[in-house]
Amino acid sequence: MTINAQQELRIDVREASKGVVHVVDRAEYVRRAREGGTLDDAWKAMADLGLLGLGVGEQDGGSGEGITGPVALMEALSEAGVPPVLYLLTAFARTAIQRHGTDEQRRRFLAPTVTGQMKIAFAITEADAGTNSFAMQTFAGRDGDHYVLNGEKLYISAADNADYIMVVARTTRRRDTEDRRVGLSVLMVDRHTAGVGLTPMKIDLHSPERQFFLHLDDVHVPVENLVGVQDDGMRTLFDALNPERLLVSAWAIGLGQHALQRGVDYVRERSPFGTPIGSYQAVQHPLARANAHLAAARVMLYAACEAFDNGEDPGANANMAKLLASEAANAAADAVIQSFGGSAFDADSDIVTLWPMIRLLRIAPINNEMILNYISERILRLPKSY
Amino acid sequence: MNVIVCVKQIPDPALPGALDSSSNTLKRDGKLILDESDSYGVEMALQLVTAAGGGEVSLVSMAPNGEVSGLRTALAMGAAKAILVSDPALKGSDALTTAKVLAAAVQRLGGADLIIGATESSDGYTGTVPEQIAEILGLPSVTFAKKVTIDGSTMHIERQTEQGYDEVTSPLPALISVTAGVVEPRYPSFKGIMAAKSKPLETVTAADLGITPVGWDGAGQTIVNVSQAEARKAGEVIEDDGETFTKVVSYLENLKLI
Ligand SMILES: Cc1cc2nc3c(=O)[nH]c(=O)nc-3n(C[C@H](O)[C@H](O)[C@H](O)COP(=O)(O)OP(=O)(O)OC[C@H]3O[C@@H](n4cnc5c(N)ncnc54)[C@H](O)[C@@H]3O)c2cc1C
Repeated sequence: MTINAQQELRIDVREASKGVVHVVDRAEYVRRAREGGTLDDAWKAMADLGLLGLGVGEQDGGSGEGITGPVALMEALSEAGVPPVLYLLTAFARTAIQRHGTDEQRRRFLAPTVTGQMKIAFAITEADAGTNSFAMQTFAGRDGDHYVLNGEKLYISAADNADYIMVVARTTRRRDTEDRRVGLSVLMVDRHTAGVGLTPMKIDLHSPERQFFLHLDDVHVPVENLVGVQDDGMRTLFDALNPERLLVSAWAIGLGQHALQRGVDYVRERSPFGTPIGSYQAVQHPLARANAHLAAARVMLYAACEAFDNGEDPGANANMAKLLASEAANAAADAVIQSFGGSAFDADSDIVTLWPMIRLLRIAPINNEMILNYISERILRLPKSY
Repeated sequence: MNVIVCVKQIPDPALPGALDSSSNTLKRDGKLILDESDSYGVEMALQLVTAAGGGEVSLVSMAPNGEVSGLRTALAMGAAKAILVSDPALKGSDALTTAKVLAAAVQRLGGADLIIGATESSDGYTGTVPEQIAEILGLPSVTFAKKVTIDGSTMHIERQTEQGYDEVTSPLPALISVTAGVVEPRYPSFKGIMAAKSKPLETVTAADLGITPVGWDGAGQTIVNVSQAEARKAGEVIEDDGETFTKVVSYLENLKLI
């Protein structure tokens, strides 16, 4: 895709996303975060407006493969202050299925996500395996035509609203393999299967989508729900976690831009000394700097999307985009909170409510230290540090 | 059934507007978007064509600098084709010239069973263009249409009045101007936006339509002065003494809202 085509797609997606924001705008999103309520109606609007078909091939009812479309959608909805995390999860789970699934799996899992009938959550994190996924304990033992899955995941976003959960489990125990990267497998688990349990976590993210403990007790998963090759889940994950980084970058940039716009609107008006504080350089410069950093992160992001869509190794670009995007968003939010002064902390101003989510993106889905480790080792060829 | 909607493309109302001090006209040199007032007409047209079971919605617009963003939005909503009249010579055109140009564009499209305009546009307006178009084309016109049903070659209109609405019947072809808020304009879908890119959109000049003189030369009216709109007065605060509802009721009665 040329830069112009990419830019045009981004504009078109943004235009079409207005119909979603009409259904759930920022105020409604915050209200539901506080009082309860799902994003089901926003999801339906996304389906009706043809947005869920972005990133899915025409043979499966979509409007064309590629991560650029979903990234543009995530950016647009985040910029409107209504980031749909389950959409992000579904979008990258789909990429893994597209690239590693069987024809049968593509038929089962792609087309229903385009119509909005199927949503997919993602479960990799465990209490003692966050950054270090290889330490996971969740185990899927093969028993005839199915796996028997046992374990406990946590922080699983929007699992209550998902139809399937893409679960990463060990099919060979760590002690039985020399290479820690061997022995992981990716399974599509129907959330309504016996033995799947959810307990809500107390997470203060100010989002209508919540996090859960996922209990897996003797869950029978048909072997045809294995995505990719048993024990070689790392290969499948590669095409889930790279697009995840791209989508998360879009989430960060969008939300950072949302915060920045709110800040700019505020400093134009607020005038404790008679003139708007937005006329002071001390107030302008952090906002201006944030704008520049968000713009730079965006260029990096779409370059990374391009590389991914061309089948190039996106690792370096996707990681750097995630680092720059989350840092730019954090700096933007910080500058905006400073500009709002005390009123940032008034729940009604909905400024400090933006902070936990923006701050999270330096930690999840992968912390920025790990990204710097990656850059150090893989790009700068420095020794592994951990 | 074929419907033509006259749509205006205007500067984004969310951005601060500016006047050209030499001509006292609104600056329209940036990006223009579909006037929200016209999105109701487009929606109504699409609904009428669907109800009729066939036909198409076409658009006519007059805008500077070959601007088509607003037309693309209306095409993305579902209109089939459009004519844009864009011509530096049109700068300074008054309401009557605008009506002549749009009427000629309607004729270039071969006319239609129904022509729809907005009661008034949102940026700069006289509220007279649709009726002038009807006069030029020799069509019956009904203003303030809030509900329209078509029955063969007859149109039934509920026409908004201060008290309620009039029931009006008109033969087709005809022209109506619709009030804002009477239908809920659809949001363009992603497919609609993509499809709009390849829909026919012809750009013509005033000369192509055979309309002269236009612009400042053709204008029978000039804007002699512009003055600041009066600041809105503070609202009335009513203390609740248990009888407040009577004051609220009489306030609403005064506004003829109840
Ligand atoms: C709101 C929320 C939603 C989430 N959603 C999901 C979800 O849907 N699915 C899912 O599977 N998980 C989800 N997670 C989990 C998330 O991905 C993990 O929290 C994240 O990967 C970090 O793991 P951890 O919390 O175990 O941190 P730890 O691994 O304990 O790391 C703590 C900190 O130590 C530092 N650190 C760790 N290792 C290194 C190293 N090698 N080098 C340098 N520094 C290091 C980093 O600063 C890191 O932030 C979510 C988490 C939250 C809070």
